[in-house]
Amino acid sequence: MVVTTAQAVFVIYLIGVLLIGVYAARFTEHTPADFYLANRTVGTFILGMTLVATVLSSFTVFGIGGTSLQTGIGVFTFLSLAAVFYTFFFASVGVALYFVGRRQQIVTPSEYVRERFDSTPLSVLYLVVTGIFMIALVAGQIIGGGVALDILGVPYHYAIVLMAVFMLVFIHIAGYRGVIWSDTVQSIVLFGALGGVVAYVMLIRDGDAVAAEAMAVSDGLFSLAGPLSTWTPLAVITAALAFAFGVPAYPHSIQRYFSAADPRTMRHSGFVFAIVAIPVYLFGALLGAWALGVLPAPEQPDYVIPMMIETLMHPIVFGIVMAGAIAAIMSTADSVALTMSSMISRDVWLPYIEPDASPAREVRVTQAMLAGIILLSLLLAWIQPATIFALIEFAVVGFATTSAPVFLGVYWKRSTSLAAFASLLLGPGITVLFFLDIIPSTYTFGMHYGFIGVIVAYVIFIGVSLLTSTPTQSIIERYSWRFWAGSNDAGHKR
Amino acid sequence: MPIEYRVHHRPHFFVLLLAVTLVIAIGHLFLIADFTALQWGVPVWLWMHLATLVVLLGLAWIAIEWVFSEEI
Repeated sequence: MVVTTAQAVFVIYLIGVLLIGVYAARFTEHTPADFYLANRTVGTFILGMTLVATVLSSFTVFGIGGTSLQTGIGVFTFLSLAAVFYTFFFASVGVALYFVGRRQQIVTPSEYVRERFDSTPLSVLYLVVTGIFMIALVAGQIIGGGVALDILGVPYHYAIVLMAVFMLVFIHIAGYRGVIWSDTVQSIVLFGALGGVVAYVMLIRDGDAVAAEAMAVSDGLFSLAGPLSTWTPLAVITAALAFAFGVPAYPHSIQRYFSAADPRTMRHSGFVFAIVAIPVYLFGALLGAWALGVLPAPEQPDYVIPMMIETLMHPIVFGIVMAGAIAAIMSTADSVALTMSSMISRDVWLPYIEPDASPAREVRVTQAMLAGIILLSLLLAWIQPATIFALIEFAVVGFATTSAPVFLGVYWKRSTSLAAFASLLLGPGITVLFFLDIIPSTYTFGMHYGFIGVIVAYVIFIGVSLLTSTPTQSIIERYSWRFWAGSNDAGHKR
Repeated sequence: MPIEYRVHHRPHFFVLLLAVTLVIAIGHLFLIADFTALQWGVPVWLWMHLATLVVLLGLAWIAIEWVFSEEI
């Protein structure tokens, strides 16, 4: 069997990623706080890079390109606007959750929900509902990995099994500390590689000529609305708002709020994320649109960016980009899977099944749960129910619809557990019904379906809260943060 | 002795900056759509959108830096 240059570069890069994880494992203490949160020692740059790598995934390298190819370059507008709004969320609810997490030693978002609303069943419901979207998100990553490996010569179904095995090996060795270390490397590599390809097309290949060729194939590709008039101002802003609620509401984003070294880090990391993520979104959208000026439209739009890079660039560059994409995909999937498995072990296993478990035992249970989550995601990736963009879009807006109990709970003293129950059932429920087309898209009235779900979730939460009883005052004081006050006592500093 | 850690913030200015950001984010979409000429393979409306993003990020920076302060 002859190994191509791209395949060799790819394997070497991935071995390097594994070695980073092995090295990081020397510093992993195999306690819950360290395995999950790197002992709360993560600084601004590293936290920003890990946020970037968490969101930058098969969605960026494959999904955005495929959607840009079909609906036009206007897809970038909602993604970039959402990134700006993330900054506001991280600086407000992110900081509030940071302080509450420190004060009350919170590790997971479902733990926060349980304590804030004094309801273990509510935290289980939060876990189940976010679990649906987390499995969709992980499956989207595995599909992207399968696409990348398929381009490199590994048939898709073998490729996704290989991805799943590598993910399991890496996360079991390194834990959260290994994930964030490799996130930093992958963010830099992917950013540099994609930016290099864009610069090559723009400046060396004559970007105007490439774009003109693409427009000859698909009229309107470079207009704001796109060839199918998808990106109207209403569609753009409602999609941006749905994503703006969704990304900060990722359970793994919330877990990272708890892991920041200090509040300044928390505020700055959101900004770091935006200024790095926006160019990468742009790179994906440009390459997807330019692709029609370089090669015939692929049968599956998710393959467009890898095929374009393979056509334009040297095999070494192609190998590096594919390896960087696989690594970014793996870090996102690992972050999500690690968060979900930690929530299951702390909020289901410990309270109900093994209350006397030691911290080391808790970590082992978490690792076993990881295997189960990755297996479920692998099964979904096997059947490929939707494109990468559609599947991950569903996951992001789904998380947005679960955010009311956390985002309002940390600020609004009137929040109640019954409201949280209702919000967690109806908001995500509406979103699922739209995604499965059980409710036709005509009922979105031109808005993004996820935005409808967010509106329903928040209106229900506020309405039911006003009609039902709150937890005790002492619980509210311990697990909430004042927004409108001029100051907050954050308690004793360590 | 434990150290008190107090966070001061100006929530009204935070909300005001967020509102201004939202208005610009929505409004500029209606103004830039007609600029479809290409520059380096990128439509002019997209360059204008990128410039708007710089302004919006500037507002976001003010919101997260100036609105908050901490003291020990």
